[in-house]
Amino acid sequence: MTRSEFEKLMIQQKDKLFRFAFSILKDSNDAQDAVQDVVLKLWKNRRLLDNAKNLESYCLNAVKNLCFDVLRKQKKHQNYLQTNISEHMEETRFDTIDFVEKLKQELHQLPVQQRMAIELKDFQGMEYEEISDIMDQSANTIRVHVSRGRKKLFEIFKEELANV
Amino acid sequence: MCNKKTKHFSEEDFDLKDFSQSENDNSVEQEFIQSYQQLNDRINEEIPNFNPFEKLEEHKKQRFLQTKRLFAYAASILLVVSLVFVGVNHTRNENQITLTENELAELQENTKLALWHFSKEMNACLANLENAKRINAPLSDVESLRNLNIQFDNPIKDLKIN
Repeated sequence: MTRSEFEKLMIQQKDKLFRFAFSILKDSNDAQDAVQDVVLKLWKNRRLLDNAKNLESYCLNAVKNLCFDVLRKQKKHQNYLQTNISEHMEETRFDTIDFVEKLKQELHQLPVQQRMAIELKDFQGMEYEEISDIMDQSANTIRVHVSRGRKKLFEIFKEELANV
Repeated sequence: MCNKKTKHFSEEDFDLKDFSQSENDNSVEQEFIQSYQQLNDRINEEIPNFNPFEKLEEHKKQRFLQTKRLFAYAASILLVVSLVFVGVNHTRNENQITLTENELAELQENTKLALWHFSKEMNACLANLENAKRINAPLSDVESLRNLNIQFDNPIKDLKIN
């Protein structure tokens, strides 16, 4: 892969990679860092890109691996539940919040696997088989993640709607 | 509650892309899906305009600087080694010149002395030979010239010149 081809690919994938990184890390700066790190990593191993069957999946997989490394390093996994609980308590104080913003916040409260699956399936429009390759899980497991995530979001939405 | 023909959002096979074509009779679900799509749009709007190549450019710059530093370091080492080599060579040459001058003076002196004594001995030998010829001395006497003793006062007779 030539330099211009690589740059073109990264510019095309930049937003998708950011969104996916953000869905895992839940922090814009961390997500930007992750995408930049992945671009650097992919550049160093750009020979491997020539052998990749699906470049998009390959890049997303690299983002996923890097984001989990970041989470491991920051030990965010350990603090994850605590953070979520405190965030949730803060969020409930906002009565005037709009549904879309509420949905966004609730999306961030979902377990990381469900968040990733929903991001890739619903927002990036990928097929279950592709997501399965990226997440290293069976397509059926991904289906379950997507379905559970959607159900949770829908239930919360219904509750919010009833409270209005 | 739900129409059998339509797929519901929470179903695994539901595809958001097909939502516009679906005829969902559940108003709550419809509203939810619209909010969901708006959520997608909002997340897209919130994507920051960042440079994905920032770290790559930094890495390239650092690599260039490292190479530059390495070259400078190698050049400085080469320069130091060259200077040391030139210095050592220069000192060695200087020593050699000093020794050669001393040796040369000594050798000149010794050579002069040796030549002077050699010519003196040679003259004595030739004089003896001429004398032997003139008096028709027997051959045994002439041969005895070979055994002529070199003068013992010759200061360089034992001198070893390499």
